[in-house]
Amino acid sequence: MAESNSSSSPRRPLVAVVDDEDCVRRALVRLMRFASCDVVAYSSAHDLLQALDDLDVDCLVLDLQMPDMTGLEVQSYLSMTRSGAPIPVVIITAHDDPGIRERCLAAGATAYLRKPIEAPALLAAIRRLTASRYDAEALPRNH
Amino acid sequence: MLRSLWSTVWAVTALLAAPAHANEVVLFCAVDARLSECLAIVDAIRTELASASDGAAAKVELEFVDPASSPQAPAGVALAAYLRAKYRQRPVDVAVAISSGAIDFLLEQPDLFAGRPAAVLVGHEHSVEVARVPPGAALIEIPLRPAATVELAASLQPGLEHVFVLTSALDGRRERAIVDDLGQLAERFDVQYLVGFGLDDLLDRVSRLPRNSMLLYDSTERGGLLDAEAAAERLAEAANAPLYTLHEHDIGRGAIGGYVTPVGAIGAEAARLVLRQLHGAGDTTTVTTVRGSLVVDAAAMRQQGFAETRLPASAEQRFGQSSVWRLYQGWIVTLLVLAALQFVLVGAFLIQSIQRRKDRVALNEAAYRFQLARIAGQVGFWQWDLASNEWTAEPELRRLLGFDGASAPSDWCAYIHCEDRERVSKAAENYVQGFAEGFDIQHRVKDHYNRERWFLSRGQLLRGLKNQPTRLVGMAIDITERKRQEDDRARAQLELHEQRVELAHLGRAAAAGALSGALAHELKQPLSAILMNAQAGQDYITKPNADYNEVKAILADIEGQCRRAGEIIRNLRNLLRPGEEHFAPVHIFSVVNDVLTLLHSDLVARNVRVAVAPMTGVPAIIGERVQLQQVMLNVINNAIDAMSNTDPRERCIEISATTDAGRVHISVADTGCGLGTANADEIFKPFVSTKRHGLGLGLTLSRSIVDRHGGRIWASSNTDRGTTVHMEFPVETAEIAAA
Repeated sequence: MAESNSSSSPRRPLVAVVDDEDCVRRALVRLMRFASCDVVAYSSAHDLLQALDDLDVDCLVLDLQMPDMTGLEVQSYLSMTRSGAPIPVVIITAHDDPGIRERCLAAGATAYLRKPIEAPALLAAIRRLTASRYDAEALPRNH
Repeated sequence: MLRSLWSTVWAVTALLAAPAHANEVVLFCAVDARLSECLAIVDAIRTELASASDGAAAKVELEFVDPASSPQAPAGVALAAYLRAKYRQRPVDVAVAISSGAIDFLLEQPDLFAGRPAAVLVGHEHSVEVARVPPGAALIEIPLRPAATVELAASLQPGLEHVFVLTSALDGRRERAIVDDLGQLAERFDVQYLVGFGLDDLLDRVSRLPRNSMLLYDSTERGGLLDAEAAAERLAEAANAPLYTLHEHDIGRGAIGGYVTPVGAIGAEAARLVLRQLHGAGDTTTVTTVRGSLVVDAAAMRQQGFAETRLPASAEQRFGQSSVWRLYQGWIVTLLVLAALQFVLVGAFLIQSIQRRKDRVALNEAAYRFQLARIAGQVGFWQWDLASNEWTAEPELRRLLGFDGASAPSDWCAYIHCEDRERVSKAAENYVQGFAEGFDIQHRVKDHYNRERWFLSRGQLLRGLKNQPTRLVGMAIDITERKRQEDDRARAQLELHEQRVELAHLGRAAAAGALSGALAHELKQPLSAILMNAQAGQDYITKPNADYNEVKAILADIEGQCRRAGEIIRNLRNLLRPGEEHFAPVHIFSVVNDVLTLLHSDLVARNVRVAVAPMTGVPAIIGERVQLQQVMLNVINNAIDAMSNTDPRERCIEISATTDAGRVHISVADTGCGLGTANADEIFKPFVSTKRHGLGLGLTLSRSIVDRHGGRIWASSNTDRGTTVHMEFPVETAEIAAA
């Protein structure tokens, strides 16, 4: 399901969070909200892809290991089907395999974070990714 | 007539004096019932004359006369004429008349012969009137003793009453003599004369005689053509009383016996007289009597059932005195029995001899096979003489060990390994005294090259006459090879077991490894959430319009995530728990014993001495028996391996246990190569091993087991040499392997 949050004058970036783990998803949503981002959260990749037609998402936070589609698959799907500038993707994962990171980055992920995720690292990555689109001051700096 | 006869005799005598010519002797026989008897006498005379040694060869002629016909009868006249004619040219020297019929004829025909031959007359007593006998003739009288015969019968038949006499008409001289003789018995016996009967009538009469009768047979009157002997036989057969006779010839042909004169004697006397007459007769008439005697047919007597003892001693036995048998019955039986015994003995001896030979062959075969078995089976023999207390090993056994069978010492005990000697002798003692069922023990033996060989000794107790034990005979079999193989097998099995155990653990460890990835992955989720929530919360509360509800929500989430993490860990822990475990009170002492039993042959083979300190008073610990055994097995095996380079005489493992403050402390110390440069804890790390084929997991797994028991395991170097592995377990039931 999607959660959204209306913003004040400068348009806040819209982050889409996809993780099949409820607790992680909820935490991520909270984190985004506190970071003055608009956030929509999905429990499965399919839900995200369906919603992407209607939404203008600025950043994707994707869990790698998901039952229906992995984050990598979503990424490759998006790059294949969407025209225009690709949406920046932050891959988050609980896995520890050494080769995965390279693969993700090679596939076009903008950032790769391992769980447990450090909030500042995540926010910094999102800020960086959405800086090109929005005013940098809209984002909080230090965490 | 007589005078003519005498002149004839003189002429003949004169002729005899002249140059020698063959003497002519004519014998006259009467053809009557007694012809056979006469002929027997004739034979006797001939035999005697032929064997006469005075060189006077005599030609003997035999003439027959018919006494029934008188000389005046035409037949008699014819006969006389015939004879005269026959002997006209042949001068007769001696004329012998046998029986009364012949005598009568001769006396009535004196001029039968040209010369006047000398006469020899043979007749029964009283049958010839002596007056009628011409001078110079010799008369032989055959005695008739009917009374004596009756006496014989009386002695054989004690109750004799009736005497039936069978004879010719009683008017003859002879017959009258018989009657006279029997007259003296008239008072004792009832004497009856059966005369004038034909044979058939007689046969009938004699079959109906009263009891206690006897038949006295002289002749039958009207026997027809039957001679007296044949008649006697028929009479004897028909009569229901025993038949006695006055004539020798009848005995054996039906008559049991009687007082008779043997024909041989008659013949001999007649021949003697003939010879005497041939040499010159003289004028005197000589009368000689031939002695008779009692003769019985022993067979007939027995047939009648007469006891031999009744027989008068003077009686001669004939026909059936199966003589030797009768006389020497007892001796013969004894001899036969002895002979039989001898045969039996000889037979038995032969049989035994054959048997012994067979036995010897069998024994040889057995011995041969036995020898083969010994050579093949590496078997030798020894014995323990209980009296002298000497244990003797036979040369074969010594040779088996590589010693010179002859010169090596024979004391078996000397060959037994010193450490086993007591054990062996104790076992032997027990068996001998009856405390043990048998003697069957394995022990070591030092061979010629001072190597150790394993032997199996089995024994059998031999007893003496009074059933007391005398010797223990033993068999020793070299089982070194077998034992080596057994040990190898046992060790291989042990290693296999250990490896299986290790692999099982390894499997679980690997599973744990695999699962740990999953665990990590699983845990990372709630941890991520917790972290993010915490950081978000920290950031939120710095904001001016922080909503406490929001913070409460964050903190609630964090709590939830933590619980979840705990769940995850618990679940995975459960997955890792090994199989069924049964925790129960266990005494370390029994665990140690179990393991030492399992390792016994290995310990012995590797010369490792194990000293287990008494563990009385050491309480039980709660544990999983099998796992504790695995730990102990592992520790002791390591100790053994550590000492593989140590001097065999110094290989020693000391196991002891103490109690201290609610914990049982066990130490296993060896005299091996020690820990060396390795850290004391290093050896418990996985895949650390000095063994060539070791997985290096033994101590690792042991540690995990000990840990699960709530205990500790560690190692330390000994002050002098070797390593000690320490284990500690709680006595009380602490939480063991709790989640």
